[in-house]
Amino acid sequence: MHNEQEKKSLREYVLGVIERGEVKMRPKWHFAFRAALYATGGIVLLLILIYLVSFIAFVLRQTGVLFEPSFGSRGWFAFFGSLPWILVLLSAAFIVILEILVRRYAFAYRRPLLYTALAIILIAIAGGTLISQTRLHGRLFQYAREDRLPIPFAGRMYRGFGGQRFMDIHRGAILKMGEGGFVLDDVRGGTSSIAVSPMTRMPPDGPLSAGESVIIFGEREGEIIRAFGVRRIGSEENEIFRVRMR
Amino acid sequence: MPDKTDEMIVEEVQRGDTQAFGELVSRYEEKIMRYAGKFLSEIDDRKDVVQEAFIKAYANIQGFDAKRRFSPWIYRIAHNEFVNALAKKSKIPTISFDPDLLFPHPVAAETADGNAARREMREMLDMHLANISPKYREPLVLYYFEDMDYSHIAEVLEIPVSTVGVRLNRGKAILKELMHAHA
Repeated sequence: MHNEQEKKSLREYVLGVIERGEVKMRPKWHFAFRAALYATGGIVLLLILIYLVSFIAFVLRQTGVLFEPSFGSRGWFAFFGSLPWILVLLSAAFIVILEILVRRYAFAYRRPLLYTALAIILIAIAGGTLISQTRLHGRLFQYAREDRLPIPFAGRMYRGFGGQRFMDIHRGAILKMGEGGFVLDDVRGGTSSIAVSPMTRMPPDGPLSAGESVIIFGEREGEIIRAFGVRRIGSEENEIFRVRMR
Repeated sequence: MPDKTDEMIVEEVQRGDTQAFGELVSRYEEKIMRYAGKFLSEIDDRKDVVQEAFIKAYANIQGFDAKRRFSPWIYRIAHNEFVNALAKKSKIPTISFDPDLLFPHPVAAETADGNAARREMREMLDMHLANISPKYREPLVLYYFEDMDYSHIAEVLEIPVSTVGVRLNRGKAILKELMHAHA
């Protein structure tokens, strides 16, 4: 009896609230608009993330850091020390925000968090790698160096990250081969003498010759760079390195 | 409207029949009150929160896709209301990270407990419910008291089905430990 009365009262209370207009049914467009807003936000965030990843790839190529791991454990150590950590952390923050955003959708919450996080990371890396293959960042970097980039802060960002100099990475073309090394026409301007020893990790695909583009991993001692490793830069990679630092 | 499904009634409400919403309230009131009873101790609080859940359901009913099941949707709204009510009371932030959601787990097979075993589990749960953390308490309540299957619970809690299995198994283990401790 009591239960029946309570049941009636709750039903009547809710219907009363509705009839008195104290609660309004939100229109369908409200939900459609909210869904569109979330989807747009998600797409914008994903595009920013892809741009960031492609910019990181550009910076790594531009500074030569990308090639450091090919020089063994010492190269890997230098690689992690030279990574643009601010950009990496910023990308990680975007991944977290995107993950939070997609968790509200059934396709995401029905699966373990790891899967959706990996999917976001894979899309970002694939998209970023694709964009980094184009000359977009190279052009923007060029504009930034000429102070012609109309986007606020972008000029400083491109000059700051793209123009970084690392003490142990040197890039350029071989000007002249000689005894115990070669002369490098440095992309940053000037020439450097490269000292090669039996300990130097030379390219496995044949001896070097004048005119070839190379990247050298080694410390500078005055006018001489003592090469720990030398790597040939292929024509495709060289195309990306078109932006010279002079 | 006894022959109509919940989803059919929702469509009528969406078309503007507010009285039809009363039928939905009648169908779910007892269930949601019982569900609330496992989380909120004060009867007045419980009633207020359940009323609020139904009012929120009405306000948002146009956002419900009638091709999906209504039951997990209304339970989800109730779940959110209970979480908010508990957070207000305890002043503890509700945002927390659960490592169980991170990795995939093998989906545990749903065991068909016999009626006697189910009744026994319900009695045990009633005795020790307060000593089980909400993370394990909720799937146990939905499984044993609301007779929901894993996929239904996963929809209500918005977690993977495999995580439901993990939480239920851990919840049962905790319950057995509590029983042994009190034996």
